[in-house]
Amino acid sequence: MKRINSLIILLATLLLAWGTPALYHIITDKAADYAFTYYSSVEQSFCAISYDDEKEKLVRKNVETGKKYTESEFDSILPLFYYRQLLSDGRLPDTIGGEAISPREIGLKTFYFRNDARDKNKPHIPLYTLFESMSGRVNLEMPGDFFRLTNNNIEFIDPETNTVKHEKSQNFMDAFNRSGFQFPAKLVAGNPSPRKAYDEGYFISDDNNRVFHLKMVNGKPFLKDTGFPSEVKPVYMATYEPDDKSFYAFVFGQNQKLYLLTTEQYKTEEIPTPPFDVNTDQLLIMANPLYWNVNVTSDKGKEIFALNAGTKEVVDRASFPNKKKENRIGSLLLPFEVGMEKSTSLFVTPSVKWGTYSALLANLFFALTFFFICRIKKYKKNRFSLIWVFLTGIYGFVACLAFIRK
Amino acid sequence: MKKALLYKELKKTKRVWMIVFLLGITLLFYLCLKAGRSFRLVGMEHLWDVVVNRDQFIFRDLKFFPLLAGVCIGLAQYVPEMVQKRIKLTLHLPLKERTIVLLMLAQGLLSLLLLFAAQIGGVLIYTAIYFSAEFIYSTLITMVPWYLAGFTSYLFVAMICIEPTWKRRIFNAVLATGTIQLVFISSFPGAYSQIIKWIILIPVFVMPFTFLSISRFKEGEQE
Repeated sequence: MKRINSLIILLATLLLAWGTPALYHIITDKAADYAFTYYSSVEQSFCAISYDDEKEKLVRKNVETGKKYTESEFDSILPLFYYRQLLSDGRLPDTIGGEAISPREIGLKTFYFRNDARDKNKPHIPLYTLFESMSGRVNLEMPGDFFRLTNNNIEFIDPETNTVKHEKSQNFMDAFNRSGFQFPAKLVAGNPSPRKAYDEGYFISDDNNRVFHLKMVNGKPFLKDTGFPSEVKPVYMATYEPDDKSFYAFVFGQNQKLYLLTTEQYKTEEIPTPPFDVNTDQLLIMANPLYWNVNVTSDKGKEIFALNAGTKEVVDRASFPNKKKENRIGSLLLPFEVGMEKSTSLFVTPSVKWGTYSALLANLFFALTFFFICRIKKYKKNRFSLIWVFLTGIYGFVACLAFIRK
Repeated sequence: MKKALLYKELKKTKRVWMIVFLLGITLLFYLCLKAGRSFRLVGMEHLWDVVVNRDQFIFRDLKFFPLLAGVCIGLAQYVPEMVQKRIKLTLHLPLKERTIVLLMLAQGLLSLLLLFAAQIGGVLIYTAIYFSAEFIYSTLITMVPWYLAGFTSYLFVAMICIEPTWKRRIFNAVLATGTIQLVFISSFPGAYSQIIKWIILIPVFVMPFTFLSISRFKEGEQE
């Protein structure tokens, strides 16, 4: 029975190590306060909007010089971000940074691409919708089937009958055989939404890390090797449909580098980014005709590169370290934290986060308190419980008091 | 003697088991009818799209049924034992104490297994008719933690009911709530797929706890 009681104490301790920090974080957590930052094509430096808690108002300023602006002035120094407001006010300049730019061009070359670690780390049913890419219709229509990639072929399934469409599957399989695609596929990337502006199908990396482009054109298969450098092993791909149709997808390499797969004969461009891990960090690209703002937000803080939109060279960079401090009470009381969820994944996975050495002092305090409680209440001598309380601190202390054998 | 004991346990739980079984089948039937209505109104392709691309789970209403079933069967089996401490008589049967407890738990767990197997079987047959193998796997991976919560809740009800003191019963109930909460952390389909083998160990880990309650009962633990 002693062993069973130990199992109960073990379970209770683990549950407390999971529940207590979760409750503590619910009470004390504050959002990381990063200002919205955008590279000014007029000032040639980063400008930011942040909220002043003391004055309770928005502050618009140049990050480098610290100069503050009114709302209207801020619109003017970020003409590519506020171009609709400037157009409405009749204040949109004809040239920006010496280059003539029309509202249409701004609209075409402006896009926002966000990639969250949860986009990659999530459970997914491996079935895909392949739209007709040249239907001649403005709106995309559901194709009437879903495809799957098995270890050695592609199959189209009719959802109405839940059966394989053999003829279509064979047509596409022939295309895979002709192109030298090596099964099984490692990655499949595409946008299955019929609400997108146009369809460019899927990008699939094969067993040899070659990236293929799969489309359905007039009901027929289109499969082409993009020539993506095979030494760069893609770990994740995200397709995007920019209005100017200048690129197909972002490819995240195993070397923690980001590549752009362009529509110019699948030419690959490396996109400089701050240090970035696709499994944990958030990437946001805010592009305009002159500059791309590449934001990476991680535990360490937020880092931004401003890239020349044409050459993709870094023209400026800024970083905002994470000022969030661990609460003192938490770091003193909680020796470790058991987590079941991560903000970077939709999978439930257990993890342990170790606390600071200062928690050992608290552990010692709890162990001594437990020792005296046992003596006062004349509980049976139990070395295991005492060691357990010293090792697990407040969690073991509560668990042992609740479930101790008297 | 073993047969007699099993018959006694069966007699205690038979009525509740039938009610829970009918409730489970009715719930499943209702969900199938609801899905069938969706097939007719929007077509199978749309339903597949919703499940594959928008991460919806069509059997999500079954989520708390196994938990409820475990609690009901557990209460039906162990509350009568604790009324006027009738379990004393059971423990005086000419069988080893461990055998008696194991037989009681086995009867409850088997009756739950039968209930759950019927329901999961119904879900899988329905899924296999209208959806592909990928859906079946995803459905199973999503639902298995819920059914494990059913077994776990049954075992905790046994532990709590047999426990002789109210103070410890409350602690045990808190322990049960925390443990069962482990399998309801996320509703996202397939969220537990990476740790499913560890989740299966939860009821196995909890199973011996009833023996401690029996031991405390026999030792005459009081408030």
